Amino acid sequence: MNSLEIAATNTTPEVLFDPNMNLLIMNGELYPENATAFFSPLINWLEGFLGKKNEPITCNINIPYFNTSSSKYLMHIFEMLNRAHKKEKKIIINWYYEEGDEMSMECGEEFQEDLDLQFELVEKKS
Amino acid sequence: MSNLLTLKKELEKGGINLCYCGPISYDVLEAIGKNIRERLEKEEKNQYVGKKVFGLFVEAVQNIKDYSDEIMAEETQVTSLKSGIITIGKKDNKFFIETGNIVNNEKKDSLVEQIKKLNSMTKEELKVLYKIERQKPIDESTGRGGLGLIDIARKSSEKLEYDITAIDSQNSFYLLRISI
Repeated sequence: MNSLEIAATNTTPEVLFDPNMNLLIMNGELYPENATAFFSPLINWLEGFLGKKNEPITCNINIPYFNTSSSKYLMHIFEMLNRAHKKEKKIIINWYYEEGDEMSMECGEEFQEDLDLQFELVEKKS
Repeated sequence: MSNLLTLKKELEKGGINLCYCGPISYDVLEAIGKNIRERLEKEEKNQYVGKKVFGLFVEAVQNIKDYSDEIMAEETQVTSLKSGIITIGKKDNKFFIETGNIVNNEKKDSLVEQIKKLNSMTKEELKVLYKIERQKPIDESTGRGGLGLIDIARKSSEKLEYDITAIDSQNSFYLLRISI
């Protein structure tokens, strides 16, 4: 299985999904005009990935801002990971936010509240 | 020229320091949004005020793009360019965003009903509603998530203010004011 690598744009984050390291990274702002177009390849890739591996997966999310339609897709991705977690897969999501950025921390909390898997809020010192 | 000067003075009197009127493409949203955010991040003591205003601006503009019934030009075969007016200002030390767009009269009632419903809810109830709606799949034909107005209601410091003015038998002008 190949990695999924997408470069950042003004409105979409850098994406690095690495099947060898079992590492899923999203890094940057997220408010695309067409959230469906941005997320479809990510969701397709994850469907293949989660069906195959049975090793611990780390998901590092550093998205300082996202719009509401992206919020829906992020939840969709987290729920895919949550379902895998319920099937005994070890998964950790790290939600990074800048020190002092309460809005970003609360966004992380609101995902955390609705998921059973290990979801860590990680403050980045500025 | 004098009309434009009158307009400028009117805007300034209302505390408005940015106004856009016309067809709204995503490029416009990006450019104006970036400008406001960078400016406020420099000017405001709390650097996250800029981010908050920016976030509300994005959802407010998206709201016009989704629901305005004034279509300027066919942008592509799939989407069309919607038109509206958007202002950002500061009064009594508080930021506000106002949007205006044309809606068909038949949509008027459901729009008012939706805002009244959101205004009747507490922040905690709005959070619950946001989470319930977030679980629902996105409408892939329109790309709408249906969360924008709930998010706006959650983040605004006051109840949403709105006004609907009849233009003719077909259309009305819908104004939404968000206090931050």
